[in-house]
Amino acid sequence: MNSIWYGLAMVAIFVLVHWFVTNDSLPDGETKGIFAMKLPRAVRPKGRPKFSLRDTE
Amino acid sequence: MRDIALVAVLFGSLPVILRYPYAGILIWTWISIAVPHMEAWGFSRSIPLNLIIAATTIIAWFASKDRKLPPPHFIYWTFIIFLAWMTFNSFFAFKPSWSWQFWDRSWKTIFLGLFVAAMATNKVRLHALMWVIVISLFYYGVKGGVFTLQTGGHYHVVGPPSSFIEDNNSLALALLMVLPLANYLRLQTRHRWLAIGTLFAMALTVVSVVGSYSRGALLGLVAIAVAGIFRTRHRFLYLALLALVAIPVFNFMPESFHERVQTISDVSTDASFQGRVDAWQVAFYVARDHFPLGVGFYGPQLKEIFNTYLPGVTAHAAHSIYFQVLGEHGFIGLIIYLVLIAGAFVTSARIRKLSRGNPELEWIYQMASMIQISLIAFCVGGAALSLAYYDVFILDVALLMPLLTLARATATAKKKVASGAAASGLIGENPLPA
Repeated sequence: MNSIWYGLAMVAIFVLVHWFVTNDSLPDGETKGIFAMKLPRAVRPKGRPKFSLRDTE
Repeated sequence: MRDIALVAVLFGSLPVILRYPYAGILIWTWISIAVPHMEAWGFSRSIPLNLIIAATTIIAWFASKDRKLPPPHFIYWTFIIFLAWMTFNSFFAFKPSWSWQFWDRSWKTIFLGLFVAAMATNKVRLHALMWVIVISLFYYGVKGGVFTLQTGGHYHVVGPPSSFIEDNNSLALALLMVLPLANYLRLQTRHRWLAIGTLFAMALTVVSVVGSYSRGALLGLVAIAVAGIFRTRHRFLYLALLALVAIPVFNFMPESFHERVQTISDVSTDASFQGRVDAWQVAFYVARDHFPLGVGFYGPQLKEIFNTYLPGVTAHAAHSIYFQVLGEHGFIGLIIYLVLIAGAFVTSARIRKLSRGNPELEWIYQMASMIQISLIAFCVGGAALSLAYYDVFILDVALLMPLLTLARATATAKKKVASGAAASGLIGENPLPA
């Protein structure tokens, strides 16, 4: 069990290094993959606006 | 088997490091904090893996276009002055052959911090480094938490041999420091299942801290819990979660744990606390008698020195980051160290102020806030532990330099855009003809 945990930790580090290598060249603020970060609230894609009676005005 | 895997993976990573020097920084940080070779129990212990990775990283960094110096910040100069003072002081150490070996470990840690400060130039790099620190310590935190639950909390959780975090108290403090950093990642990660996994690992790490039986770490745990109240927007949810973890964990622990916790309120009869007071006295006398120098790295705990002041008493390590630096590097060393800590708090407060209310800088705001809580854990828990030059502390402080630079750059760019728009009449009045 201990060895599996040790192996998992090692794999996690190398997945992270791979993530870094693939994301470092992306435009600043953009991240993809397993460790991707949330987008800033201002640029987060918003869902479809809810229907409102005002839409018909 | 572990040795073969570790050595193969590390040597296999060398070409990647030559191409991407910052990948070397990540692996160097992992080896420094997680000390995986000490957990491999075989031939990898005798290979200078850290040196090989560090040397490859430095060569690649020289050849790369990466920034060569950290931002010229107050913290950078304080690090340099602290390192210079420790080096100068080591020449006058009581037992130089003893002290230089610890100097050798400490300068490398500070250099790693300076490399991080120079090379962590964007969000991805800072984020990746945070993950490395968290994964490195969660390896012990999760394992220790599971061990505590499996054994009913009857045994102490200890760290890897021959490392900064070998004993139960040091490991517990290191785990405490990583909790706020993990919380930053939990808040910032896009994948929900990864955020949930991080939260689960944080809970097990709290169990591990409790399972260490470290009273200093328990005080640190209370300190970060209180600091967290002031840093969260969802106070009731936070308190409910805290209670949800704390109450079952404390009830789960055996009687021996509760007896040990009770001694916090009755320090006068506690031999362990008396040992700490002895060590603090020796550190003060040493600094006074060797003014303005100290007796070098880990000098005050040498029998020859300790028993000069307290004959017949068993020599102890300083058991306090402050008294450790005082005894080892004198009053001047302590002043520089305190200036470094104060500088870190001031810088993190400045970053928070710069980034508050700006959605684009939300991640910087959260990172600075969580580093601040990590430092609070270090300052409170470290008051009773000898962990003054610990890697995570150095990295916490070093990360604030690039973070401030990024916050300033983004805030300035935004101001320019706003003032440009105002000058062209796009803001403040309706630019469209009536």
